[in-house]
Amino acid sequence: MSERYLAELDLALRRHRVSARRRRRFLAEAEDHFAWDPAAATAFGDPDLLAGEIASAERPRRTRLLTLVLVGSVVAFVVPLYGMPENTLPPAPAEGLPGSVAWKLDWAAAFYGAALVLAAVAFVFSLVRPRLAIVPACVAVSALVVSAALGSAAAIEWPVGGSTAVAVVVPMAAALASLALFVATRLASAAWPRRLR
Amino acid sequence: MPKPTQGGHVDGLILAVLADGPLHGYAVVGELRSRSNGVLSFPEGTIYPALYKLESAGAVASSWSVVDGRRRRLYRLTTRGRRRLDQARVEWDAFSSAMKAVLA
Repeated sequence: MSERYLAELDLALRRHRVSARRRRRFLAEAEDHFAWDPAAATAFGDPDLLAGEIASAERPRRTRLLTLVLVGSVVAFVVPLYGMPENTLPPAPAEGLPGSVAWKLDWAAAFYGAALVLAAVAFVFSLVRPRLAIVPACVAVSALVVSAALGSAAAIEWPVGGSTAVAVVVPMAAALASLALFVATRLASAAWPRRLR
Repeated sequence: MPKPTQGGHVDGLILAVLADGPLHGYAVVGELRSRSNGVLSFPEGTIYPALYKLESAGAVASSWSVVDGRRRRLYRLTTRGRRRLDQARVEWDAFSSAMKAVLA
C-alpha cells in the first residue's frame, strides 16, 4: 500500500515540477512516516494536492535562486559584450568610429545598464514580494536582448581588437538562449502553477 | 485587530508543538492529535508543506539525524519562530476573546 502511494506521490511531485532535491526529501520523510505507522498512507492526503502544496512552499526559494542566477547572468554578459565598454568608455570612442556604430554601442550600453539594475530589483523583489519578481526579471531580460541585438550589430559592423563577429555573436546567442529558457520556464511556473485549490 | 487565517492557525499550532523540543514530522502530527484529544485531525501529509513553508520563512530549522538506524528529519524552532509563536498566541487570544464576547 505505502509503496504504491509513494509511487503516486513521486509522479505527482514530478507533474508539479517540484525540484529533485525537494522531491527526494519529501519522499524520504513520507517513507519514514510510514515506517512509524504503515497504515498512515491511507490518511496521508491526496498526492496531487500534497504535491501542489509542496510546489507552492518551494516557490519563494526557487524565485530567489532564479533571480540571483539572473543577476549573475547579466553580470557575466559583459564578456560577450566586452566590445561595448571598450568602444564607449574613455579613451573610446576610437577615431574613425562610424556614427552608425557609435549610436548602437551607446544604446547597447544603456540597455545593458538598465538590465543590470532591473535584475538587481528582481532579486530584491524575490526577498520581499516573490510573486512580483517576475516583472522586473522579464523587463531585465528584454533589455538585455535589445542590448545584445544592438551590440551584435555593432560587432559585425565594427569588430573590436581583431575579434571576428562570429566569436562575439555565438557566445552571445548561446547566453541569450539560456536566459530565454530561464525566463520561459519561470514564466510558465509562475503563470500556470499546478495548484488544485 | 489581526485576522487569524486557517493557514496561520496551523503554523501557530506547529510552532507551539515544536516549542518543547525538536520533533520529526510523524511526531508533530502525533503531538497535535494528542494535545487536542483527537479534535485536530487533518491529512497527515499536509504537515510537511506547512513545515517547509515555516522553514523557508526561517521560523523552523531542520536537519537529518539517524535514530535506530533510520534517517529522519528533525525540526526545531528558531528564534524567529519563537517570536512568531508569541505573536500567534497574542492574535489567537484577541480573536478568541472577541468570539467569546459575541457568542456568550
